[in-house]
Amino acid sequence: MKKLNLLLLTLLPFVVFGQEKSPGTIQGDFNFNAQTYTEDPSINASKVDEFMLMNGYANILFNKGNFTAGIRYESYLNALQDFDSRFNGNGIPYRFAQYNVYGLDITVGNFYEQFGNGLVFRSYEEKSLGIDNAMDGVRLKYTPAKGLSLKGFVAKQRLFWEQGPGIIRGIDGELNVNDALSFDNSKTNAIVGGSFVSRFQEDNNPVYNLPENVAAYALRTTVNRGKFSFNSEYAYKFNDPAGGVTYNNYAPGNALMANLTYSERGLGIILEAHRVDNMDYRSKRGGTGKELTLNFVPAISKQHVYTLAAFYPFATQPLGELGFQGQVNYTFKKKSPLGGKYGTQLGLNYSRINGLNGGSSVLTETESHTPMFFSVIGEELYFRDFNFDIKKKISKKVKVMANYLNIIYNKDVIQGKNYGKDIHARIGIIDVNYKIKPKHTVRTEFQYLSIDDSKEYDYDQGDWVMGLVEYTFSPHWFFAFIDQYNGGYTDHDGVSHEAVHYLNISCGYSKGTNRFELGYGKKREGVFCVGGVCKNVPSSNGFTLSITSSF
Amino acid sequence: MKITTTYLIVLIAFFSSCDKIERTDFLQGDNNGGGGIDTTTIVQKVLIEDFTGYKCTNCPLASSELHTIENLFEGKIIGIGVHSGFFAAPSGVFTTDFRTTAGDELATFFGPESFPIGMVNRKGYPENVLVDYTEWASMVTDILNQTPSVGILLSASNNQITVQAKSLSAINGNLKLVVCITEDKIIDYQIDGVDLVEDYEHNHVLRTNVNGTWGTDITLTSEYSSFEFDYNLDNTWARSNCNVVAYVYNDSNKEVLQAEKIHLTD
Repeated sequence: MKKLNLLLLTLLPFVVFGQEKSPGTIQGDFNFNAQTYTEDPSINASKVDEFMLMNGYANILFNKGNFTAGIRYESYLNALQDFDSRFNGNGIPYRFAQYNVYGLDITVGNFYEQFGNGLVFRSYEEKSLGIDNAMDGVRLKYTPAKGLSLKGFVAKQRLFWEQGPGIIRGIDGELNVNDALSFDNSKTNAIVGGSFVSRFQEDNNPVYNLPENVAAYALRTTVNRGKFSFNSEYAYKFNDPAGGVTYNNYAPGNALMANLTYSERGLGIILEAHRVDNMDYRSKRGGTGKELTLNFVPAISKQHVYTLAAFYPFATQPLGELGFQGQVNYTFKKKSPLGGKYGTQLGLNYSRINGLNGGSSVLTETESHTPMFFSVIGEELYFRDFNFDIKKKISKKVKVMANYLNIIYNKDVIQGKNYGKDIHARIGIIDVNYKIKPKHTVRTEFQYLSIDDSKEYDYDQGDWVMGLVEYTFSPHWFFAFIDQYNGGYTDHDGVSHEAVHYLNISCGYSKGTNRFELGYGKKREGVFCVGGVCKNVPSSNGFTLSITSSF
Repeated sequence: MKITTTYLIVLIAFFSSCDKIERTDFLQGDNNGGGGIDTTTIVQKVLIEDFTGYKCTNCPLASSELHTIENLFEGKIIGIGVHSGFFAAPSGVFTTDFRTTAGDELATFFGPESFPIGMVNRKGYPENVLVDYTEWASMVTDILNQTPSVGILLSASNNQITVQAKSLSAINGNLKLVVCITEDKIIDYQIDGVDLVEDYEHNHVLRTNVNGTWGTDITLTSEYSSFEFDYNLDNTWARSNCNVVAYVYNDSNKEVLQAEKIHLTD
């Protein structure tokens, strides 16, 4: 009871405050993920000394009028196995205050920001990947004239619980031509923009003269007319050698991306291409892995959601790639021969990514190479994905989705292996959703991944099959049972792996904005990607508990 | 609009910082980083521990960088190749096991997750102790500009190592002394980029820690104190390719204060 009184006393000022006129609002969200780890030699899963690991965080935001302030408390005790152990610990790595007055928006502290498509600057967080490239410094946004918006900042970047060594300066301007010239009735809408980013890092290399200020700029345009939309951006990065004493590449980098979309009722078409050469830009010279990335090259392959469809995901290669993608979505109308009673949705997608001619640009004291701008035939294939999906509502109770993928995956480039051959995988997926009665739904998935065992391709881990049954009793409960099965294979080290079932059961309960999920089972080792950025996930065996909440 | 344009130009001028290095200026004209061993006074030496493995495709880049740094700062760099983790686990043609108890314990403690990665005097512990090989030379330059706080003299007979050490300034924290054996010129397999090299030369391979992974507690004064350790070489190691490495580190922040190496002779 004493504890309750104390709690009430603590909250009282907020309650009283809350009854005043325009008191402001407080919002928050909470996320908790914990897992136990037990040893399981059958899947090469190891235990952890702590038995249980946990990632948790909460955002608290206060807003009143044009003022916002917030913090994020993070706790990794210790970080889950698929996260970098440098996260271990507790603290408030993110705090900021922001206000807007007469069109000038001022942020001090931490912020996330993106210029254009992100080719020269994108600071973001993706908790599931363990990425948090938050900036810490000062950011200003201003609209000096109608249609023109400016953004600028000077900041350092987060590196786990510390900051990277580089001081980053950036400025971005965007002009909405129609607004600026008051072309309100024009059928064509055009936006142009440009950005400039520079990193300062001291040079104490004993052999090489390294640039202390490394800059990158980008120019972009978006044109919309009727059902068409065109977006393009070109970026250039000045010399940015890694900083060793054996070898330094002074070649500049560049990236060009363009996409054209057409959309009308029932039909959507996207065509896109990008070419990237030497565009790994970070707030630390020679940085590696996922840390301290300053820019982001958007993925040019479809981001698959189904488990086996995402078994061989492509990770964007910022050092050099040339990629194309086409996507067509078409809806067969209701009551047409192929549409049936409820209509049918068809999606077709093709993407192909290859290396640059002769590799990415090189400029050293003895060597100079600039790849051809466009070269596809004969170049090293990194990834190819042809896939289609059909979604069909059969009756009021039954919905079906069928998906087929045909993927060629260069594991040597994407995962740094030494296989010498590509992997060719064919994947088929059926998803059936059956509404038993109001609020009661059963969803089943059947997925099969078949590896091409011809000599031309690498057998990798062989075939996989997966089944899922999920029962939802809305609005509160769901239960799921998943089994992934691998028939066994011999790896490249000559080690034989027995057939193994990766069984998982999970149960979730939601009430209001609170959600609890408890699971138990085996996780397979693999690669998990979001937007073309990937991380390795080790195999594990144990219980998982996930809680999310917001207010 | 004119005012806006002026403001824009000024703004761009503020942010447009960029150094473009011409090709003829990539290398510094008068590199004074090298130089021989200063025998008259105690000089700062730097320990570079390279977490590596023969199945790690990019590890030869780090080994090559370490070799270049050794040549650049002749006599001042002491390298140890710590073969550990997945990339050092024998399998297939990789039959030699270069892993050691000490190496495994170091890897478990410092937690390298992507290879190659290394530690330069173990500076930056805990968050930033593991650094990419492209940063090693710059860190070495910084450390070599510092005044040494510990001096080490090292000698070895057939089965005994003598370490003499003294403090050159007041040091806060407990000091530890580690003595280990490394071996050079081992010819074995190594993946180098996309190639499998059959006769790769592995240098400064950690063979054993004579007095344990974390060494011996020591107290130093301004006069040399002597510490003696018995050692044995495994009969598979070539004595004439082996080195004795000794280093003193501060246990409170794990930073290596001084290191020394001698080459064993037949």
